[in-house]
Amino acid sequence: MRHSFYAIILSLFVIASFYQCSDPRTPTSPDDGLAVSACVTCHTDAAKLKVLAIPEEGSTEDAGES
Amino acid sequence: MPQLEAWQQVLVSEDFLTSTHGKLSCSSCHNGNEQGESMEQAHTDLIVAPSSDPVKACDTCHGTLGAQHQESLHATLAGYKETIRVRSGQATLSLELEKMFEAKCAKCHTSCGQCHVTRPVSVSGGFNAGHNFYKRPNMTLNCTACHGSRVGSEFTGQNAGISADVHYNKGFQCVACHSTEELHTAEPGATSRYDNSLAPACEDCHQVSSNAYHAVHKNKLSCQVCHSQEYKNCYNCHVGKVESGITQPSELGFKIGKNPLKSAERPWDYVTLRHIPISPDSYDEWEPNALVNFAALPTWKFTTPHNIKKNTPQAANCTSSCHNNPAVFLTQDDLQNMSAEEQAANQGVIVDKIPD
Repeated sequence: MRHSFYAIILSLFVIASFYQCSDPRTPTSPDDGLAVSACVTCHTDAAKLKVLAIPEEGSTEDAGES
Repeated sequence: MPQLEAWQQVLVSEDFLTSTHGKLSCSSCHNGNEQGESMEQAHTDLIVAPSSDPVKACDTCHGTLGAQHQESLHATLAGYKETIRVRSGQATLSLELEKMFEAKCAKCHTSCGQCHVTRPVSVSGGFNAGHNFYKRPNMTLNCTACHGSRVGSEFTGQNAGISADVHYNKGFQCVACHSTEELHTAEPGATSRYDNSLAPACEDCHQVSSNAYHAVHKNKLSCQVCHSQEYKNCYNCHVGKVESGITQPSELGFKIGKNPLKSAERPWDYVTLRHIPISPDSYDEWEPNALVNFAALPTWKFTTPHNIKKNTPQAANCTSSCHNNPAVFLTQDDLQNMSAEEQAANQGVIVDKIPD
């Protein structure tokens, strides 16, 4: 009886770990077969990003320390 | 290093979507609104760099690596901060020096993502492989993006007239010597990269051959004294408030001095010394006369030049290269152009008597 209890607890832990690390966490994730994420739609499309991207005044300084 | 265009920095490759991390939803790491109809809506409460909180973002699946990283020098930059604090004579950094540190030094603070996903902020960031995660940081796009001006240029032979490191010529990248364990080690209290007990040593790979030179110099000279070439010495730091240009050019040089970090792991009497990028007025634009205790630490420090060769001028001819040759030693003469305070700070590392 006690062994069955431990087996159930262990199984729950394994299942929880699997879901934690392997499964999509929201219904809009890329591979869930439902709605396509807006993030994916834009961030995989170079042409869209070029239009949306706001050029920043970035630093072109050379590498730094060490 | 040329920076990526803004759109290139955030372009996700299709193959990322089928990778382990790509199977997670974007919002599970980055927050935001995946159903947003405009960029502003989609970016609501966006977390640009999830690994800025590595325990939350990474340790869910990666054990305690994120927590360890938070205590490492790559994350804390404690080495830099502590030396500035000591030279300032302050118990904790003043508000102005904190601002300087955050604006300048902290650009080389490293998160998990800046080694395993993007370039460091110091070179404006951006995905290196379309958001794909990679285990081994890329030497050029990650490591030398920060460690570039001295170690990187030495290692790859970019200093005029100086050969690349023999290990580089054999195809080694940084992680060949600097292990995962070393780079991920939590080092609470550490104020120097040399405090890390997992730092590489030549003997990790090389058995010291029993030739006459090694027999005589063993434990007296560090390997680099005979097997490294001239390296860059910097005399100020580009931390100007308005412009970030280098205010004083570096100089190639080679100086042997007394070992300031003598220990069981580093028993040598003499080591190579490098002038570090600091001068009494380095931070004046942020806080005038901030370094009131400038001379509390030497400005010539223990160094391990990354331009190793078997045959160097020192190794080629001992009698003319080092013995009776004051030019390769750090002596009082080398300090003449420095302030009296800086001269005093370096008394412990200069060589008094040139070996004959």
